[in-house]
Amino acid sequence: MTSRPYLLTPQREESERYPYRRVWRTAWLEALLLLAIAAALAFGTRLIALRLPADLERALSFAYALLPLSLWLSISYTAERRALQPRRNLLAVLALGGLAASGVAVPLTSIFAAEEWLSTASGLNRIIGYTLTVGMVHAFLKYAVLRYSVWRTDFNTRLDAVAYAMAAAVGFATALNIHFALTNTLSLASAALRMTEIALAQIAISPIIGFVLYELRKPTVFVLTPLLGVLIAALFNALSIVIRAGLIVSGISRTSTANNAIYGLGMAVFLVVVLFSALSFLVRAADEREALRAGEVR
Amino acid sequence: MRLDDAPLSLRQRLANYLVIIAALAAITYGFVYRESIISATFPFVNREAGISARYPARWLLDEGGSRFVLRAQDPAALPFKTTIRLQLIPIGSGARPADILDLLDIDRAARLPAYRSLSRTPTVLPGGQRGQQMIYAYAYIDPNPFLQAEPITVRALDLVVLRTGQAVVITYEAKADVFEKHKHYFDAFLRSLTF
Repeated sequence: MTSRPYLLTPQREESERYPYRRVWRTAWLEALLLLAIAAALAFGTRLIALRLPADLERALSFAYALLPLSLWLSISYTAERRALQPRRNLLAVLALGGLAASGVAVPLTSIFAAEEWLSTASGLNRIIGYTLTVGMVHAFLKYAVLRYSVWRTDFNTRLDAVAYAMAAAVGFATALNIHFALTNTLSLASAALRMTEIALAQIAISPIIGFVLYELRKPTVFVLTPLLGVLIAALFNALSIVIRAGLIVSGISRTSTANNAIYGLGMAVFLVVVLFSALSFLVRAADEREALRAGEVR
Repeated sequence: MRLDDAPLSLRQRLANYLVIIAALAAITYGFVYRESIISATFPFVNREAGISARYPARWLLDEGGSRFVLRAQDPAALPFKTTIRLQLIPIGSGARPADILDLLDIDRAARLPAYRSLSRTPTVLPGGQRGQQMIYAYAYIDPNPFLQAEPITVRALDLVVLRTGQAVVITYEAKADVFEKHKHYFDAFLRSLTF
């Protein structure tokens, strides 16, 4: 008779399930998908020399204006709903961002008409001019949307702040893109590239506002922190406009005077890579520092 | 960290007010900055003709020798560049501003398509010189046939002032729909003009 050894199953260590949506992962995925779709459209239409009727092209441009929102809903918002502790008011913040853009940013920007008087100004004047006008309006509106809606109730961690700031930016960018699609008659590829740049710039810059708004929750906050954050966001917004304009004409040669809109994506890619990386590092470092400090106190 | 009902500290309130104040200040200064860039000018001096003025900084300056003393054009105004031109026409002893306008009228009627003189009125320059102004319109057709551009309605204004042996003709031309919008450049030019 053979006896079978009786094996004790080692006790399985219960790993704690992360209760929130992973903000950076979904944001990277959306940005990469948006970039890939824009690049595919730009190269695809050029490759097959696609010519569409003007009305169809406008309708498709309008549909493209909604693409960042669709991606956000299908990736970030779906992931949020699956999380153990979903952030409750993302849709409300997204709607407020859109309202602030269409109700205040678009009319104010058209009053400034910055492209009329800054397009021929010197580089420094353009950066200062766009920072004080378009950049400041966009940064402050996103700050105001977050500060006076969910800042008190829903900013429990730094990543909450980032997630809500990105939701506000997606709403903001969608309203700007719809306005762009309705007021411009461009080819589908050109419109798609421009709207991708607008969306990515808004989304990439928004975590700065979220980060400083979270700092504002501390009673001992350095009083200039939120102001510096808004100024930096406004400056990045201005740089994205000025450098993009420089990039799209960088391909001009002796044989052609046509500009190349696809180079404009370079600035959007730069903003996404640099700001997402920098802000995710800052958030992680600040959280770890706070956790260490909390451990020392105990 | 929950803040739902907790009162904000002085620092928090101050930091928030600072953002609001700075944003309003920046946007207000943005308007001031816009005005300073739009109204920035460069000096123009022609000692031979005894004329000095200031023209918009972003415009392109051309000194045309015998055709005109000065021509400044806005490169951003497309498809027709808004233009300020100053020319000197030698005159006889009994000439009046209206005679110069008649001369210009005849010349332009032959040269410019669909030319129409619209009005003539006596005027006084900011420097106190008396003269006469004429508003007219014509169709501008781009000389490049490959552009296949439609004719553009141009509205223009001639201002004639006499000085010893010369008529100073100051012309302002713009696409009809931006004539009034860009006229502040011409008014600023007149205010700076000395001869």
